[in-house]
Amino acid sequence: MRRGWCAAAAVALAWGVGAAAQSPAALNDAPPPPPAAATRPPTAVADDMRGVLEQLPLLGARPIATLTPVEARLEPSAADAYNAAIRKSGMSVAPDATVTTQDLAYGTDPMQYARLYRPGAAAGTGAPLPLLVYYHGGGWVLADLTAYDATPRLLAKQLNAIVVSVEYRRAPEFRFPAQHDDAAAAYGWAVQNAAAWGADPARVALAGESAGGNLALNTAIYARDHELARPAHVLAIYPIANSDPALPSRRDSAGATPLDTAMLGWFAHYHSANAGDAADPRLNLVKADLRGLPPVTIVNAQIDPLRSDGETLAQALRGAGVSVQQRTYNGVTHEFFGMGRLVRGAYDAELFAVARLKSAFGL
Amino acid sequence: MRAIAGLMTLAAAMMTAPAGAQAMSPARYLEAAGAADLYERAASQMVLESTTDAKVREFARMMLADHARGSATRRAAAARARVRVPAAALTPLQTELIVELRAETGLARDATYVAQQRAAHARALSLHQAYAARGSAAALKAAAARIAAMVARHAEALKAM
Repeated sequence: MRRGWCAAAAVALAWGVGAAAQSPAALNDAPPPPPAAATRPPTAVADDMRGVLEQLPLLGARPIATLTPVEARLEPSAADAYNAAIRKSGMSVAPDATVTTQDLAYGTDPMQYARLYRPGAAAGTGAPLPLLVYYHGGGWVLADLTAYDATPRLLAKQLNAIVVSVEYRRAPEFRFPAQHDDAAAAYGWAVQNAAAWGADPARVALAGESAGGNLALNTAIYARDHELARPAHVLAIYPIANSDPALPSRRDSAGATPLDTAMLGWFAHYHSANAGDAADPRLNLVKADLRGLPPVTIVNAQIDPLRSDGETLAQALRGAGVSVQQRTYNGVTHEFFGMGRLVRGAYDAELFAVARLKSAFGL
Repeated sequence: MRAIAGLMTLAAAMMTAPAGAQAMSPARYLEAAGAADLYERAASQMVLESTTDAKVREFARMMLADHARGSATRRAAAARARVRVPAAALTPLQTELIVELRAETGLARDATYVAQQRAAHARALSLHQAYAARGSAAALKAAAARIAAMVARHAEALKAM
């Protein structure tokens, strides 16, 4: 019975190749078959991180890789779990009001817009502030910039910089490389408009989390190749960067929460337009031409199937002559960054990232 | 030949889909949409009790009116499609969001409401668009398309807040 199921899955996958659906109909497409079950016990999660992750089942979370995209988008996010844990600690979940936001379109699709985060001090001296262009995560299928509010808000305040958090068209409605195209377009638009926003287009950096970490690095490559303003720095937080399914973290963190290895296959299933996409250097960044990129900071979580992506990317960047600092934080999982009010590892990682960006901005 | 290939595709698709992963049923759509409307009404009612911000008040009133209308549109379509409408109930996530909103006061509640609305409308838009594209009951599909357009207008209004 099981063999028959697998054979049918293989047939369906083969027939699905190249059928790049570009409509919301694909939101209801069945997910791909799951990979073999995890064989290793997960590494110990720190108590403070576990306190956040334990909110997910209480919020009704189901395994994403068993769901259609439309069902998966209804699921509670890591940010929802963080807010629930904050509320239960007796603290306010309200966004930090000292940072104000404004939504602006950079394209014609409703998803082609960005949220400007302005620190309270922006109204101060009138001197132009540094500009940070940020891309959210979600595997290019899930989540949006609202679900990733914590990091851009925190960075705007800590760096006293204008942060532009970029929304982009998601898969499966728009498949690869629509997200990469939008990321590059938004960067060009942000640099062009920086002065009007009170930002200094000569002091610009890129940042992103997960799928957005990949977009940040790709946008730096795009800027290098298309005579756009060169970013001073790239902050890549657990980026998608290596398509090798045999990476150590794919196995040792196969059953991790909130990102498991099965979800990576699930994301690729809905995001890929063609069978060969995984080998494209924009996705398999470790094989991209990385020469001449600005200094890069990579932040990883120990209990995360994407940990090896960051670690191997750091090696590839060094091999290409790029200045890079990579740190893996123990006891924490994917999505920990931005949870510094509750999670010590996140607090430490945020301090590290802020110090690196301050130095890049000459602050 | 094409018919056989079609059957094989259908069989393969059905067999690759884990339990619960098939395209959304009318009952599941009605359940999720009903929960979304219930959350919208509860959250908007709560913010109206405390807000002094004219823009927040105007938006919350629009939510109460539009989501009541959306529910009515769906109920009428479900009756035409002969699908039973389940009693609306908040999901565990929506229950938590309401508790979070209740824990805030003044400007913090306004800001929390707007942040929650942005997330809720992104979820709702995806839900209604997906059912409008591939729902199985024609009357309900048409209703989903109308409601998706309304939710998209709300999402645009939120960008200006």
